[in-house]
Amino acid sequence: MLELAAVNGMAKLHILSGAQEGRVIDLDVERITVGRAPNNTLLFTEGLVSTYHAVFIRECLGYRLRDLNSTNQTRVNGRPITELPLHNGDRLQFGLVEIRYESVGPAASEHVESTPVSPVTRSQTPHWIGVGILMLAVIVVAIWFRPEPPVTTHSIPPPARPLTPMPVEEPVMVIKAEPEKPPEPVPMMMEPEVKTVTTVPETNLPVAPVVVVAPVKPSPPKVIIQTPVPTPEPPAAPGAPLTIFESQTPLLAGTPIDTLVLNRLKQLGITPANICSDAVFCRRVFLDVIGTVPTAQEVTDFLDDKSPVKRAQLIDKLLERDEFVDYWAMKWCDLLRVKAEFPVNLWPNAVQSYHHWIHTCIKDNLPYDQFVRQLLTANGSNFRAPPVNFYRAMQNRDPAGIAQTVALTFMGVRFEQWPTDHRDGMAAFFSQVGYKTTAEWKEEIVYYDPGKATNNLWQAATFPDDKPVKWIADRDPRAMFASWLISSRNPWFTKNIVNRVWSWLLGRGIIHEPDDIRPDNPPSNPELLAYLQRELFVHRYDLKYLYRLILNSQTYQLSAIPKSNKPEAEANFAFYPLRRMEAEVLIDALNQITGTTEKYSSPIPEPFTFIPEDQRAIALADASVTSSFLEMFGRSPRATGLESERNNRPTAAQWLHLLNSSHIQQKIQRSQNLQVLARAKTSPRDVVNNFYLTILSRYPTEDEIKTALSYSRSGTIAEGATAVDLAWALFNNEEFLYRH
Amino acid sequence: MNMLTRREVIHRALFGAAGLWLANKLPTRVFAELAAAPAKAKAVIQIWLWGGPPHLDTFDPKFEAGTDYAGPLRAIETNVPGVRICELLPELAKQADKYSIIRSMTHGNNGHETAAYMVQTGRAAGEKEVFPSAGAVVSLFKGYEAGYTGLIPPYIVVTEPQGRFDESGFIGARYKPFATGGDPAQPVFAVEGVVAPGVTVERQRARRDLLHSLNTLEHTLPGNSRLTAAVKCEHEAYDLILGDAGKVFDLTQEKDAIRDRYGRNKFGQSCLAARRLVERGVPYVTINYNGWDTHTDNFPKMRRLLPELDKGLASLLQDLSDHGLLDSTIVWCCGEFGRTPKVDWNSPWNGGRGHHGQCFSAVVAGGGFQGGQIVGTSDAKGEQVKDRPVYPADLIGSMYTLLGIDGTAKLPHPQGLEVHALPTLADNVKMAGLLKEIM
Repeated sequence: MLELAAVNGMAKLHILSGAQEGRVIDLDVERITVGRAPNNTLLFTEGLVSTYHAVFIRECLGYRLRDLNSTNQTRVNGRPITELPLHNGDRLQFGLVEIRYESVGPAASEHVESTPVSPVTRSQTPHWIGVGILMLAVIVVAIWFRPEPPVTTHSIPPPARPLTPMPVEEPVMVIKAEPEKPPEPVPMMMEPEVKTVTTVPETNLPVAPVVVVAPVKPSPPKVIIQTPVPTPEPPAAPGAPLTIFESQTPLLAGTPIDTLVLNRLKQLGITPANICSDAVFCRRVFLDVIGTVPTAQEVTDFLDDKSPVKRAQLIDKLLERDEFVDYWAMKWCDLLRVKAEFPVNLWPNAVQSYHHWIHTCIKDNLPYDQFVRQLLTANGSNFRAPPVNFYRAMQNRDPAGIAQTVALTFMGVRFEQWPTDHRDGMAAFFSQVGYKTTAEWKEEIVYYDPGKATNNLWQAATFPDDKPVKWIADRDPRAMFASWLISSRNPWFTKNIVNRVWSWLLGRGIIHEPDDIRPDNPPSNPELLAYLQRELFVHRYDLKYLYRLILNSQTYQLSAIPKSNKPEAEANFAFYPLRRMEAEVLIDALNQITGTTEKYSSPIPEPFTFIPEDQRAIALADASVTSSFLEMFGRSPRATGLESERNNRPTAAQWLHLLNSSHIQQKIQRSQNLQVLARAKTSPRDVVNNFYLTILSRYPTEDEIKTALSYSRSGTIAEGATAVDLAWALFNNEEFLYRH
Repeated sequence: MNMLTRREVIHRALFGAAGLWLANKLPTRVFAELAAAPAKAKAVIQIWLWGGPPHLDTFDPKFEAGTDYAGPLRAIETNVPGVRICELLPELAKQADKYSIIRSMTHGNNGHETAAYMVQTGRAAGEKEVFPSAGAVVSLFKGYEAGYTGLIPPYIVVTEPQGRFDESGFIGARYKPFATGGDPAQPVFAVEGVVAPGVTVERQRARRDLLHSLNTLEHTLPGNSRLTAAVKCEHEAYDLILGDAGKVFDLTQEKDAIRDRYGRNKFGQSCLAARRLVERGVPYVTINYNGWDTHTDNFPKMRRLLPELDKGLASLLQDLSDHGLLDSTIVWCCGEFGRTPKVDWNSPWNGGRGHHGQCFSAVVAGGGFQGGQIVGTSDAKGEQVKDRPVYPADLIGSMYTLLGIDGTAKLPHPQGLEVHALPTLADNVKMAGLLKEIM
């Protein structure tokens, strides 16, 4: 097992220019300030260095550099920065002083973003994917070569033990969930202190099968295969035939997630579902990762692929698709309430800039903690500094209203249920947010307004975990709050995001509802939650890593056919829960399959905004866009940012619309795509096949083919209507409407 | 004369504050008493003149103010002595004993969305919460939770929803209205989802059977709770598509003479559809009537719109009365605000009127509201409320009272906040008292 302590925060600074040229400084404390004032840790008297120029802050895997609003900027590798995690070899400039940053230890020495920690995260360097996959394939085949490959997926992350088979009786990991300790008082401005990285600070959990593979760049990545641990769960009841939704692949505790989930299910005496079939997996992962149904070609390509790691490969491919960015931007815009009009009233220009910023952050996979910091500490114009819109996209902009939104969004808690002193304590951090308009129509500046400071507010200020606050004059309290929030010791921050991502992918949070974290709403599987928190923390809040980790688990790939009637089965992830597609995903699917479009427009402000007809609903920036379909199917009104605002519950009105509206009927009747399929010069069976592949992403069964063909021969239906009615019947099928 | 003296301002402010304080203290008692009284009204028909109708050209004519205010339109006498309305509303003039006119509606807001929110929720704009519209509240207290069992959803909009206005607010999408779509003036009123043009009943049945035999997931998971919910929705939908319930939208069941009386246009036939819906127990119907945002060419537009409004609304009142439904059905008609009394004759407005939230008119009838009354007055030019201001919360509160909805009843809130059907002092909403003079 890799000792992460070895990589903890050891770094050196080589001074390359100025009066102290040639000096080497070991960094081994929490904070090192740089500037001309004599009380700086590093004193530089050269020109263009500010009194307090910048600060190095220790993190788990090295140092982060923050500019202290210096006159002449802090530069890293030539670019001015406000704050940045440092990487081995970075060249830092403070005025005329130039310094090279060197970190010691294998993991700390590399860019997380550009040097992924596992082969599958290596998407930005396609050459390496090939090497990684090739090696994976070779090793998988070498180890598991049997007449029937027992495992079709190779799960991420690569387990810890290099090629050493793990004894069956030894659990893959032992995790003790300890109650959260009250945090120790730490002076303000102190960044997360991580003594050893073998434990997650907030839970002191052992880091067991985590591998941080960070090879020196030119060498190929290490690939480590873990022998699967057979699960002691009983096999499927003999004689129970598999449905078309299930796969023969045995369920194995392939990843730590699976071990934790299966252990819990075993404790509860719940039999987990079978692994889902390839066709179900393909459709599911398309819908869950990119909010888009696969085309018939994509389905058959996947089904025909003989690779044992094809599921992992498909996941990787989807995580790089443009629709991934669109779809997750939509989710984040729900949470962040991106809407031009009532009730949050962002105004269309600001909606566009805010949506674009969110979209770009997701595209660049900006680490989540940095995403949150930027949202919380932004200043400037709603048109030019997009994240300031966070402070505008709320109905109540007084300090308590802002605190409520921050608590809900980034801590997953219902602020309004806190005691008054806690509410006031947190609200104080947002008491100096100023708003002002400009000469430009609907422009609004959000800024730090020191003039709003009052002693009363300062005295009231407390962090929600009761950590004392040491106020520093002229420092924006939002920045203090942000530092507290994204600190690794924060009991809510990481928990909130991993729980949300889990619920987005698996339909239910480990804590349920995902934005209602409180002591009397415990997680159904605390060890699992702790494990995910640690993973995200160790991987520097790389959300794509988290998606990949969850999607590659067998737990995610369970079928939707439960094998246990126990009421706890769903809350413990014994099967994949059926969920109706979201409004936007559903209309996009109908449009994609039929080859039709929707007219979206927004009457605000006059003159109206018209959106190009080929625009997909998942890519719409603004929840004010008029669409009765999206309204009816429960698009989020983006008024509060609660997860429950999006409503996927079925209503009779929705069924009326799907079964019998002219809107849907015309989409099917006028569909060139479906007519081409129906009139293809192939056998009638193939026509049915193609309809099924296109609409339900699978081949039909013999019975289904018979039923479909007998419908056309029944004689009661006018010619031409048959294809329309077959497509109609498949669209109105729960199998189409529900993620499964 | 129209300007308030400083003394009056102070007096009103103090009186107003006291009124608000009282309003906060009173509801529990007042509404407890009123709620104890049996509800007079069972249903509401809301005629929403989206865009803001000019009060001077409809129910508050100001011929004396000169053509710069009244334009070319004159006022006519009604069947209630002393009550005069615009000359383009002759049928309504014959029915004035059935409705009352509020000429002192006010909220002071001139933005479409904000004003539409204020008039239909009774709440102030820019509050922390998005409150539900009156329709959604009625749907909550008179809909499925209150024993309504009809297949037709309890809150219907004929024909298009309002788009920029979230009718259900925080109480959630299940209280949103069902929008019919289609056009009731066409030979077939193709209510979206209920009537599919070109699909015969035989084909409906045949493809339903096809759907059921191909529903493999449902067959694989019998009794799955999520699929059961979907199947229940499907059954309800088919009861409307193939059953008798959907016939409510079949206006051909009405006599031609009746249809003609309402006017063979979208608004007139919408009024007829509303009567049929109320007759079958639907508690809230909104007729969303567009075209009233007359910044330009106000008077030619009035000559087109007002005869439609006149025939449709007058026939609705007469027809409800003939069917014995008027006593149990509230009809209210207004827009989000009025229009500026002074006409802008310059290009490009060419006799247009702007938004005016300071003072406008509303019409209420039936369900316990007396007819033939005038509530409040506007000043000589219709610019300000002169006497007896009526705020949206007063009007909505009066309707709730007639419907037997307790104004202090809690609304379900996603975060569990304590919020009520009607505002309290803490909500900082202007109120001047229920319309007791006409209840």
